[in-house]
Amino acid sequence: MTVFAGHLPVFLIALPLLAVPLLYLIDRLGANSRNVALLFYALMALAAGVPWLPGFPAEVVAEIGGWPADIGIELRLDALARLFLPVVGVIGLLGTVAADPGEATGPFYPLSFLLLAGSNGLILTNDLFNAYVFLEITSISSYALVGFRRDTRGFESGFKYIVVGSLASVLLLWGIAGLYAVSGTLAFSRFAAALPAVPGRAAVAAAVLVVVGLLTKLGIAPFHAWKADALAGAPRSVAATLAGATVSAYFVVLVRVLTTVPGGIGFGLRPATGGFFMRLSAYVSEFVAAGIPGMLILLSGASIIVGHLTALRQTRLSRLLAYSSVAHFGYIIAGVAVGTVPALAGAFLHAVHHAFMKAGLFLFIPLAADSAERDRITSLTCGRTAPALVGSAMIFLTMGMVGIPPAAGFASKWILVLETARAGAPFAAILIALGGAIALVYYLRLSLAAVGRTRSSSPRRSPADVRVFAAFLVCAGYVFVAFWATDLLAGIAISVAETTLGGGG
Amino acid sequence: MKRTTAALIVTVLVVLAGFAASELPSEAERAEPVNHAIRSLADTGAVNAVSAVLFDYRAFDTLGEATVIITTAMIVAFLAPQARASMLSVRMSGIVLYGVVLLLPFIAVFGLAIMLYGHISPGGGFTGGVVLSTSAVLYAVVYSAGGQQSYVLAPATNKMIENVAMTAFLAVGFFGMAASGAFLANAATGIGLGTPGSLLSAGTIPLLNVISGLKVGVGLAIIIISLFLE
Repeated sequence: MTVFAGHLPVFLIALPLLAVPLLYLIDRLGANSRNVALLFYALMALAAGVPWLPGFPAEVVAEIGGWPADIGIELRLDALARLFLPVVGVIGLLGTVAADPGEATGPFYPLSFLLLAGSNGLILTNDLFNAYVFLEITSISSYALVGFRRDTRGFESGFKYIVVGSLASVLLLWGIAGLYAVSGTLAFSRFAAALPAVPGRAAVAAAVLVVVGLLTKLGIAPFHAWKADALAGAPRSVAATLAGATVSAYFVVLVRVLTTVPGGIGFGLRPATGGFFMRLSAYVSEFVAAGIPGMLILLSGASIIVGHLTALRQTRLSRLLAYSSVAHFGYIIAGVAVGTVPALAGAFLHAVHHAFMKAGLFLFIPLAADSAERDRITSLTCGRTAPALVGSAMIFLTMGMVGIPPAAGFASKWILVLETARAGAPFAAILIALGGAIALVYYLRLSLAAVGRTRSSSPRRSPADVRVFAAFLVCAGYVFVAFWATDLLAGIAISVAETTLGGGG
Repeated sequence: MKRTTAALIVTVLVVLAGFAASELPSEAERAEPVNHAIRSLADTGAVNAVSAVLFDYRAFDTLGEATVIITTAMIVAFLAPQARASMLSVRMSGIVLYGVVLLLPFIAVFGLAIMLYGHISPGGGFTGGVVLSTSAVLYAVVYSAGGQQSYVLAPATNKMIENVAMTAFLAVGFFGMAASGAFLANAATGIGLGTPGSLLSAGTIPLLNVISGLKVGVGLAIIIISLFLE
C-alpha cells in the first residue's frame, strides 16, 4: 500500500498522458476507441478516490527524479488535493460520458485526457512553475474543446478564450518570475520561509500578477468577459467539465498561492469608533492596508453584483449559467480572502457543491433543448425521457444554486454568510445573501418556462440521450445526498482548511 | 479617446511595475543563490548545466512543455485540414529547388548534432528539434509549390513519431520509477553517468534530449506545415 501510495500522484498525471498514444494505437488498429477511452477515464476517476481509502497516508510526497523541492519538483497529495481530485475526476468523467458521439470525433478523447492530466497536475504539484506548465496544458486543451464544433460560434468563443487566456498566462509567468527573483524558490511549501512576514513591494506586485492571472482563469469580475462566450459556444458536455472540473483545479492553485505567500489571505475590519466620517476613514485606510485580501474582497463583491445582474438579463441558459458562475466564484473568493478556518472550509465546500450543481445544469441543456445550438430559456422543455423526474431534478439543482434547503448549496452558503460577517466583512455577507435573492428570480423564470412542457417534436432518441440523462441525475443526486451528509462534508472541509492553513503546505 | 485612455492606463501600469521592480534583489543581494549550476556536474554528469536543469532536475516540466507542443500540433492538424494548397500557386525556380536539396542534409545534421550534444555543449532537444523541423518545413514549402503536396515525412508518419516519442518519454520516467522509486530518476537508477564530456554520458539526459527533440521537431513541423498549406 505505501509503495503504491507513494507513486499515486505520478500515476494520476502520467497515466492520462499515456492514454493519448494508447488511443492513437487503438485508432490505428481500426478499432473503436470510444469505449476504451470511457473505461480508462472511469479508472482514472476511481484512482482519484483512492486517497480516501482507510490506511492511506495523510500526506504523500513524490519527488520527481528523486530531487527535493529546493532543487527539483515535488508532487504533494495533501488534504486539499485529496478533496478536489475526485471532484475533477468524477465531473470530468460525467462530461466525457455525456459527450455527443456525433461531436466527439477526432482528437476529442485525447484532448479530454490532456485536460484531465493538466487538472490533476495543477492540483498535485508543489511547484509554482510546474503549475504554470500544467496550466498551459489545461488551457490549451480547453481552448480546443471549446471550439470543437468548428462552427462560427465555436470558433469565436474559442478565439476570445485564447486571447484572454493567453494574456492571463503572460501575467502569471511574469508574476512567477518575480516571486522566484524575490524568494529564490518556486516551491509553495517554501514561500512562507523564504519571504518576510510583511513582503516588500516587489513580492506583493509579483503575487498580485499571479493572483490576477489565476482570477482571470477562474472568471472573476472584471476579468470575466470571456466566460459566457466560451461556455455558451462549447459543446454542452465540455461546458459541464470546464465549469465544474477545470475551474476547481485553477481554484486549488489560487488557494495554494494565497495560503503560502505571506499576506495572501486574512481580511477583517475591526469595529471603529467616533463619528461617521471618522469611522469611514478608519475603514478605508484599513481596507487599503489589507493589501491582497482587500483586493480580493473588492473583486468578489464586483463579481457577485456583476455576475447576478448580468445573469438576470440573459435569454440563453448557457450564458445565464456562465454569469452565475462568476457570482458564485465571488462568494468563494470572499470566503478565501477572509481566510479563517471556518470561512475557508465554507469556500471549499461551496466550490465542491457548485461544481456538481453547475455541471448538472449544463447537462440539463441537451436534455431540454430541441437542438444542440438552441438554448433560449423560453423554448426549453423538460425533455422526453421522464420529464417529471428531469423537471424536479432541475428545480432541485436551482434550489441548490440559490441556497434553499434541502439542497446542498444551502449549508455552504450559510457558512460563508456567517463567517464573512463574523470575520469583519459584513458587506460581503450582505452581498452573498442578496445575490441569492436575485438568483431566485432568474431561476424561477427558468423553472416556470421549462416545467410542465415536454418535448414533442423530433422523435430522435440516441444512446447519448441516455448517457446525458444518467450524468445529469448523478449531479442532482449528489446535491440531494450532500445536503443530508452536510455534517460529514463540513467536518471534512474544516479539517482540510485546518491543514491548509496550519501546515503552510 | 480610446487610444488616449489606453495609453494613460499603460503608462500608469509601467510606472507601477517599475516602482515594484526597483526593489528586486540584485544578483549579489539574493538571499539564496541558485545552486543548480554549482552541483549539476556531480549530480547529473552533464557539462551543460541548462540541460541538467531541463532534463534532470526539472525533467517533469520538460515532459509538460513537450506535451503542450503535441497538444497544439494535434489541435492545429484537426482545425486546419491539409486539403488545400491554394496559397502556393507560385512555381519555384530550379535554383531554389536544387539549392534546398543541397542545404537539407546540412540542416538535418546540424539539428541532430545540437540534439545529441545537448548535455555537453549549448543546445539540447528543444533547440535541435526546432532546427530539424525547419528542414521539414523548407522541403514542404518549396516542393509543395504548384499544388502537388510533398513532404519529407507523410503527415501520418509525423503523427506516429509524435506518439512514439511521447510513449518513450513516459517509459523513461517509469524506468526511473521501477529502478529507484522516483519518476524520471537519472543517476539514482544506477545506470552510470559516464565520463563528463563524452557523448555517452549523463545517464538518461541524451536519451531525453533525442526524445524531446523528436517531439518538438515533429510537432512544430505539423503546426507550421498545416498552417502554411491551408
